[in-house]
Amino acid sequence: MQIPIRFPNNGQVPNESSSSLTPLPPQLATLGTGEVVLIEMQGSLEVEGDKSNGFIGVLNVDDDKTTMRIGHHLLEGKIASLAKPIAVLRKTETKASNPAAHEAGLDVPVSEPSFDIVSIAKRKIVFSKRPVPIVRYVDLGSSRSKGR
Amino acid sequence: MPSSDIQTVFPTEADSQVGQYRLFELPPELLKIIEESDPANLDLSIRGRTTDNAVLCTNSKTYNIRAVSVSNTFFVGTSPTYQEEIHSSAVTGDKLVIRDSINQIFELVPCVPKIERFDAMFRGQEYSEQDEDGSDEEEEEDSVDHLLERPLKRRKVTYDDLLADVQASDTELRNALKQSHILSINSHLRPIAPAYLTHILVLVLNTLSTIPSQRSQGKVKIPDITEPLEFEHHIPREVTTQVLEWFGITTNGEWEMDQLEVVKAVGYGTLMKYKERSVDQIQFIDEWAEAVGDAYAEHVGLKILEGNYLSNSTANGVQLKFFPSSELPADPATRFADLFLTRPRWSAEDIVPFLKSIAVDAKERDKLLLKFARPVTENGTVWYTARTTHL
Repeated sequence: MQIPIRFPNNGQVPNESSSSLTPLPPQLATLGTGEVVLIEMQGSLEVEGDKSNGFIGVLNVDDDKTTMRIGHHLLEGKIASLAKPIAVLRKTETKASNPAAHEAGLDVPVSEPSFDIVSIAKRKIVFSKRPVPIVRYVDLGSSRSKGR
Repeated sequence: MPSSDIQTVFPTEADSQVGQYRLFELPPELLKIIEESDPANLDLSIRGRTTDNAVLCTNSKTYNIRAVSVSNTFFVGTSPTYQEEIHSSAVTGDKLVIRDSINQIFELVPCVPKIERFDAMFRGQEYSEQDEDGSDEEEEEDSVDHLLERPLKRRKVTYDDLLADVQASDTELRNALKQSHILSINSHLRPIAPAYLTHILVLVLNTLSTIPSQRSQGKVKIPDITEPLEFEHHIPREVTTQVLEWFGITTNGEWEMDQLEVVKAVGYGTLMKYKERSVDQIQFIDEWAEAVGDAYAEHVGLKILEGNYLSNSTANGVQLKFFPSSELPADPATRFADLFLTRPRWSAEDIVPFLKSIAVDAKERDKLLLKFARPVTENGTVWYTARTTHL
């Protein structure tokens, strides 16, 4: 078996069809070539119920500080360079009939997997610490001034 | 700074891409290949049978793919598609869609091409004198057999079969075909019988000695060799032409012989006769020199046949026995087991030639020696013995 790996949109201008991606926000666009952002986190993201179209949290990327707020948790992280760049591959399947099977009269459509290199990430956003609970979301400075 | 806030969201279920993403750590040379080559001509593929450990092949190199589990999670985020942008009016502003979460990274480690499968694929397909008439009488086996991923004994092998089955890059595959002396006859690949190859090479050398111009420039016109061989010795032109390509450089219809390789191959063919019984070293060298003729006798030397024989010092001189490393198992553990069955202890100098084809470099070879053999130093010579195993 041979599974091809393609590099479809290297330096190409993406066409604006409905399934193509909108441009990345500018502060994320510098993380690598291509369209993908890699975010590394400890543990995993536990979600209850239906995830579709669900809101996860707010990511704030700045030069000096990167934070992610998920519910009542705040993650602090940074943009780090990857020691070795990571190729992000996406599996695509094209329906094709197996020529050998076709000759034998067995026209079984087989899906032929292939991979697209969607991005070569050279940097990642890494949240290496445990999340800090946010006790009160209201800005401390303003709440203090209100109390006086 | 609300302007730099980015909303992270899950994708709409219909467009779920969970499980579709893979992360591959790129070694620097591979990154260079990907970045510098024209995307349309990028030649990367994952190869192997479904039961193999997958390898990644570039045009010229092979990498083992090793899955490494990580405790951290990698999230693959992209911007929304234009369609998603329309349908999700709920959240406004910059958005990042988390497509997949990954706990495994693939590492790529350079490895030697896994061409040992050649032997099994080409078994029983050897091309020898009996095939000279060029008839192709065997019927092609029913192609359904191909689906079983098990080449039947007499099924003819094509280059495409190799691509699908052998874990090696194109360049490595073509080199391996050349090195294993595999002929392409009517697009079917068949290894040449070693004795037949030696026969052809000796004829080529004889023919060369009758061409005077060869002396002056080292190049000969290909038909000057193929024609006499076809008319006088019934060796098909296509066979001779391919043999010439293996043993020299062909440019513009002219052939420049790689003298060392020819002499080596003739030596190999001569040595092959001594598989069951051993031969005196001096007698063997004489026989070999005679086969190649006076003009090339200077290249004759046991050094070029390293890894193909065992030598034994006896009272009557050094005895040689044919023992090709190409017939040893490719798996390091079984290869060492075989070597130590053949001989309980080996000097470093003797064992190294038999490890060449399983290690990419000296460092890896030493690692293997460390793992599978026990070194003993005696009077300044390092000897290797088997590690005691309780298997």
